[in-house]
Amino acid sequence: MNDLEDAIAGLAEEIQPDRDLWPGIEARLAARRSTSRMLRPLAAAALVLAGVGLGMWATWPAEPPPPVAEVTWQAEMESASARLSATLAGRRSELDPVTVGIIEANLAIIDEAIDECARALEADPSNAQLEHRLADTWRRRIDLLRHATDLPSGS
Amino acid sequence: MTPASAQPDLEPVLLSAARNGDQRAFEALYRCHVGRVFAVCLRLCADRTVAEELTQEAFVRGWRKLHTMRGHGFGAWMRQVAIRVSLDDRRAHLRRLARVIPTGDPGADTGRSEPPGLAMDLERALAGLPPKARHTFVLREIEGLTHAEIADLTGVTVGTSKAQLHRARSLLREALS
Repeated sequence: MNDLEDAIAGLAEEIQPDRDLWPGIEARLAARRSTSRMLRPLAAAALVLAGVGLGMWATWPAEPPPPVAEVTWQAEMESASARLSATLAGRRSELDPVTVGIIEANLAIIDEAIDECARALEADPSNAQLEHRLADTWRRRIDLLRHATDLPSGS
Repeated sequence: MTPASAQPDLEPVLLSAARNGDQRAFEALYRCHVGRVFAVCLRLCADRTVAEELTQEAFVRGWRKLHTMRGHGFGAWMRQVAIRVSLDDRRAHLRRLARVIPTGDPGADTGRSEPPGLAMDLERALAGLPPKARHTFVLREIEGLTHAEIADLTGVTVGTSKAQLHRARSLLREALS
């Protein structure tokens, strides 16, 4: 065996870095998790908003749907929404503040759409399209709340 | 800690936990294998600072790709990841080109224990090789890859890989004589 072969055989298997590299790795993994957590609710919110927009677009120029039965659907929606809102409020501290902020921003947008529909319906109480649109927007509020209350802790 | 001797029964448990998102388990794996991974990165890039960055990138990529690991021990798999990271990283490559390598001593200013005699001479001589020759030598003679694997990783032909190895060995023999 010549010098080169001896030297290769004598090389250390390990060389330790001068500093602990783990904190830097951990920070990068945390940054990835944080980005992922931010994107997940954003994607959900985008879906909700797209759904609201699509619903409005789809129902607005359509032929008049059959008249909505005079049921207490709005009271039921409000009740379900209030229950879910209370559940969400109780879990608020378990969720990432960024996620909570995004949920609240989207709820505000949906609430604005609900108010707009309700005002239009007051002006035109017999407009079945408006009533369907209002019901649909309420359903989307409840869907968002359900999604939010189902999020795992730390999301 | 020597990877092979570091509680070998524990590694599958740590690996399984890490695959399920347990970052502490992954940290334990890192602590067992960082020496081997850093050695690969350092010998490929010949710069301790760049090697630290490459090692971190390798473990970040390892965490992300852990679910794709098949049929290797974690250490062997991580060294493959480190090789790919070292060869792929264009920024590190450009930084390497900007540095003065020939007098580079991978451990001259650290005060830590060094391999004695010939091995240390070889580390110094390796750091002074042209990058392509150094890559080929490290991958073939230290990491045990075949010329076909080296050719695939470095984007050259098998013949070129053999020629680079011959060149590296000649330069190293000269440096060690």
